[in-house]
Amino acid sequence: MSKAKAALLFGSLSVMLVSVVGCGSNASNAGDSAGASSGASSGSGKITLTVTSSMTDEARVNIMNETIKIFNQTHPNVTIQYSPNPWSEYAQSLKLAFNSGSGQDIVYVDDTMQQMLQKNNYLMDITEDVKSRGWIDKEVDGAIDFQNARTPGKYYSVPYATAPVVVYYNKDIFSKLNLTAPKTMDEFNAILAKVKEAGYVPMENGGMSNNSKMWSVFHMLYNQAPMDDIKKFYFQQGITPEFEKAFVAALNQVNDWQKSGYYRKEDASIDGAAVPTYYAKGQSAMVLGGNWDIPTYEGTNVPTGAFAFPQQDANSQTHPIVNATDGGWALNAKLSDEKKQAALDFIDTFMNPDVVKLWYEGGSTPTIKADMSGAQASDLKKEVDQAIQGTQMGFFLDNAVPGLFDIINKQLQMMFFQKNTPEQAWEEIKKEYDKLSAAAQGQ
Amino acid sequence: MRQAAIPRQKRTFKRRSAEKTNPLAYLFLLPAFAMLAFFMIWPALQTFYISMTNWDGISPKKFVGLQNYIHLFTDEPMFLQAIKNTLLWVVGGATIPVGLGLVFANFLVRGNIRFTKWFQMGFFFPQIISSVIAAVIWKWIYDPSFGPLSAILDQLGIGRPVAGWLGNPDLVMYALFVIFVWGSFGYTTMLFTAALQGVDTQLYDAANIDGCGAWGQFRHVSIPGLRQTITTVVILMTIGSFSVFDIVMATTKGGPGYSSYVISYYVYTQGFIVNRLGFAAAASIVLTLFVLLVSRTIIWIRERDQ
Repeated sequence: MSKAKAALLFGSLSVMLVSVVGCGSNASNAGDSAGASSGASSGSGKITLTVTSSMTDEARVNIMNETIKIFNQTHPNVTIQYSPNPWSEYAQSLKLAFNSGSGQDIVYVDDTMQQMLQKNNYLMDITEDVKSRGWIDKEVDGAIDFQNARTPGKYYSVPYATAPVVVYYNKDIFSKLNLTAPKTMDEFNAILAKVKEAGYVPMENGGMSNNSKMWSVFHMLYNQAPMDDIKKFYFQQGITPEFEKAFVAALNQVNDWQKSGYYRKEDASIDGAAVPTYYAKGQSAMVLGGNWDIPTYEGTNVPTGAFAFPQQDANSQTHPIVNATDGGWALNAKLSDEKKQAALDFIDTFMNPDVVKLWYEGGSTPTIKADMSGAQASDLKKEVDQAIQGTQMGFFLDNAVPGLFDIINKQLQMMFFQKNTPEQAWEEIKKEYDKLSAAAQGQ
Repeated sequence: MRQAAIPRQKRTFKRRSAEKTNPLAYLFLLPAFAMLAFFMIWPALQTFYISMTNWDGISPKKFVGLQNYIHLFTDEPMFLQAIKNTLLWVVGGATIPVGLGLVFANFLVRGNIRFTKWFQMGFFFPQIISSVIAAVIWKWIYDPSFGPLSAILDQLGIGRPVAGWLGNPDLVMYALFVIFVWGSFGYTTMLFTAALQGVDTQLYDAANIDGCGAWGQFRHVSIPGLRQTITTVVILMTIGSFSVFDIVMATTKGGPGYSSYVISYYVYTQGFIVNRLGFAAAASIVLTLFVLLVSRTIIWIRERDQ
């Protein structure tokens, strides 16, 4: 072998050796730092807590930073490392993190994510802490139970806000046509017909995601099906005949609205994100949206009010609407005692009236009992809060099993083009629901 | 010693054997092979293993054998629809951008037009835009109320579908395919332009003398001269068409209904939305086999013709 070849061979082997050793030392360094993080530096008293959520919008990131500052006023030795992930990839990021042993200390989970992590023993049972810290009394009745409904009697997470869906309406159109917010479905249908006759668009939807139609279906289900049957569906315990009948009736109602021309002709090609832009044209009477849409509809410069989706009839004793806990703070099961106390104190910060006021003024609907009369809120925000007074919490039913939103959306799209009937749509939804339930339960 | 005593074939064979047993060559290939093994072969083997489980991405894996593969073809009408849509896409993707690329390349090289470099740059421009950004831009172009396409057609008095393009199950695949062709014909044009410049110009002169017009020269000189390149480009476009995902993800998400469902998007939905990672892995293995089968068939046809 020539000297040049020998030198080349030695050089390439050296490079390979250095990279292997370097990777190994990097891995061990990462392991050391992860170990230090989870074990806490109890000797120095300084603690670092990693926190994640899906709240990536600037407004809520700012409120979160203010919340952390308030927490640090009483816990200067605790550093909060907050890193949110977009909703579209949040569940995957949690799976990856916990699967690889680097799950965050405090995670914000909705109930399907909570179920996913809890059944694999990644979340800490904080039932006793919830009770001993008096959080049940600090929250509105049933909020913590609602958030932990899949594990009755055991608490793994604590909510601090709900996500109600209401009907936003164009006050100008309502005023011109002498309309008032409907209380019953008959009144609602009458308004739709009158608005259509007057040449306006009765309802915006966004057919590429069909959020408005889907929430309409859910609201009608709450009007017509017994809550026990709805809970059975939501908790993957099966579909009762009453629930099935109510679902088909709701799909038929939406189909009738479609055929009556209550949605835009080009609705099928409109993206959900573009709905506020269409609403801003000022030609649409109503649109279903969440309380997270308040800033968006305020920004359209269309005078907008809000009312709760109407009940089936005025004699209904209860009025559940789509209004679930937005999520809850849960703890990593592997937290040390010291970190656990700091994490629980962090959650307790969200019960602080000043913090509740911060989030309320930012547009959230708190589950914490607090006097918000002195808080600064926009007129629309106040109307939304007023609209949901007297209503009961209800699930986002597409959360019953992962993937159900896509199934329902696709069937609604096919109904738009009459590629299937409501009955056929329901059969497909039921078939996929059964399949997805089995998959979610590991069968 | 006279070299002529050793037959030429034997000398070549001896040289090639010597190269194959040269350990230094293998040592230099080792890092690249290690990267290939770590980033491609090992994950592929893991994917195959996962496809034989009912893993949801976080719980312990449970071995289910070939159950996922059986369910794919017997219990998943969505998957069959995705296969149909993907095959349509492949047929179009392996022909239209290739044909357009050939024609444009011929104009650029043989067309005696000025500013050919600028044209090349213009045709290639869509390539430098991220396909996701391109899809988002086209989504806006297709918007039935605010998009420029609707406005232009209305100004020209040309009818357009009331329900729009992306929301219409009969038109959505064509609408998405336009985005794909727009993004890829510049690439094929560039490849054919480079290859066409390697075709001997004397062949064109000879064809000209024999009375061949532009079309004849294209048919009898350019195409045969580009045969190898055409096969390569067809294979590349076929693979690209099989793996189309970003356009669907950024626009229709497989809708309306399942009209624009493609295999890659099906894999994504099953794996990351529905949490059926084992099932998604099985679908991705099936997709890989499709790609291998089709690519190998194209290569076999080429070798047979040669």
